[in-house]
Amino acid sequence: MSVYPIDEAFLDKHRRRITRIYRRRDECIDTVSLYIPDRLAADSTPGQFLMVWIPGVDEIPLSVSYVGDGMVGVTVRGIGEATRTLCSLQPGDTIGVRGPLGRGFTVRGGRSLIVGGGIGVAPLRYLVYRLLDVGGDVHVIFGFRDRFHTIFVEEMDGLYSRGLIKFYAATEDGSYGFKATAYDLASSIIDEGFDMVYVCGPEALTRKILMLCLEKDIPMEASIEGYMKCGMGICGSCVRGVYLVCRDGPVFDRSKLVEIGEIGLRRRKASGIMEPLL
Amino acid sequence: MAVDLRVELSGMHLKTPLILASGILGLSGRMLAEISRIESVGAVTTKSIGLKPRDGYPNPTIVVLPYGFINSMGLPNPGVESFLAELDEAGGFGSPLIASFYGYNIEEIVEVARIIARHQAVSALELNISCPHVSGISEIGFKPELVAEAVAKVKKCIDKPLFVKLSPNTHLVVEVARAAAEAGADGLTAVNTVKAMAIDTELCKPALSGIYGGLSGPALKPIALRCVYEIYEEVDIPIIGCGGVSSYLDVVEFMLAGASAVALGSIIALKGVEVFGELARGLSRYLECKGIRSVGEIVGLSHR
Repeated sequence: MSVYPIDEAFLDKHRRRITRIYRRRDECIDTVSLYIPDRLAADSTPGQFLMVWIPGVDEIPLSVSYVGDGMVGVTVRGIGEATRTLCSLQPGDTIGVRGPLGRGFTVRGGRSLIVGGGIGVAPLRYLVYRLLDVGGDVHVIFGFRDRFHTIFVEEMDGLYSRGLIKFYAATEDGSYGFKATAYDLASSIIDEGFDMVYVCGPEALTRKILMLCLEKDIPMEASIEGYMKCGMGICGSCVRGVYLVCRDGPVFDRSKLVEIGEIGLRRRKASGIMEPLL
Repeated sequence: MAVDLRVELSGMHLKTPLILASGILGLSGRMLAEISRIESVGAVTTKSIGLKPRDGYPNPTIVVLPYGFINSMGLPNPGVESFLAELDEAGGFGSPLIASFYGYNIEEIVEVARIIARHQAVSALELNISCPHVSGISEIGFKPELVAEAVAKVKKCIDKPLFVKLSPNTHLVVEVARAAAEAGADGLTAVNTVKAMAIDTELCKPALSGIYGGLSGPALKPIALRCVYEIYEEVDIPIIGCGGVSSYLDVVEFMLAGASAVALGSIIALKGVEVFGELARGLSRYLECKGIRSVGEIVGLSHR
């Protein structure tokens, strides 16, 4: 059957929709959440991503960190040219978006453990709310470098104090929450019995949680990164193992993470050259 | 009646005439090997590989239109040495691997060819002289005498079949094809994308960071088909038809025009690599209905 003309849904998803930033919030010294009104992007499920275009600079993939009231939020840490430019944008400034793209997390009830590290907490924040919507028993562990780099911890504390989730925060230097890594906390409570573990963070963390979930035989899903260009499964730039992050991911289940093999060990750069992560 | 989809292409034996086009998913050795093992895949082509690594252009690098895509990837590739390492860990290939390559001048073209042809996984080479969005590449491909020189020099230092991927962005497409054939090319791939662009009407600026891109998809198909037909009239070496194939009837059309095999690209964004199976089944049904035993029999049939 012909797929041409390309259907409206695909065209709409990949059209760069120019939109103005409605609201920004500084999450910590180098991280900002930007909220934009975009009806289509607001259909994102947790773990899906948007291609965010900063005209004249670049277009980069960002996980959705919030959806509500027709508004979609992304949370970005300023580490490169594109992300730093995004962090400097103010309400009223213009960006382009396409998406939602990719496959997100499986949202289901039961006891789930969410493990996030650094900017990786962005998609997990949205996931927490969706898991609560389906009546999940949600345990959240967020780890950061130090108290200057914590993201969404007040918000999670708020949910914790209302009895909606269990929440554990950790920093490597102990300046906020436990003096530990997210992995340390996860391994200390993993035997409490979880139906699913969700992870997003530095790949070293994802790799360690993967090993832990294999050892304990607990289902797991992780959101991972690839060098994204086309975002529609054709250029191959974001390939990890035999999977495309843009089309098959960015969320992969435990068996696919094992199959990919290189998680936490190496990753491709823009040219496709492999770069060690260790 | 069982129909035979096997084709012979410049000494390579393909299970079907369906080839993965260059630039599509062809960065990872593992991925290429995986695709090559799909039953209905005849051959796979790598992304174009140069002497040195290239990042390509910043995003946006692609625009989607109702009848195709405009891409301006800018030839991202890890460079030939890293790519060989990639092939080392690819695992076994289930169908021939065609290594696409480019250079900014003839010396560089010859150097990359020499290196890449050494790898045992590589069955054939495809010289890209037709990328419309990186300057210095199609400039070579527009000049029959330069193409002839490049082909002759490459052929001297490799012992594998050499294809030349032609540009539709010149009125000299047949002359370039003839020059390549006379210089010793074993086959031609017709064609690369048509130079194109898009402008963002909100921002009033070009939509692609590289400004110019290459138009692919069904918008390109009639142009590519015309090129194949014209070349088949004039040149005797095998042709891989390429440009906007999205159905088995497109495959049939290209083969009737003179293509011995057909490469798939843009359609994979919409249907994934499963499209190889779909097109192979459609092609078999077509041949059955026509009472034709072997797909090779329809190559060039429309010229009679």
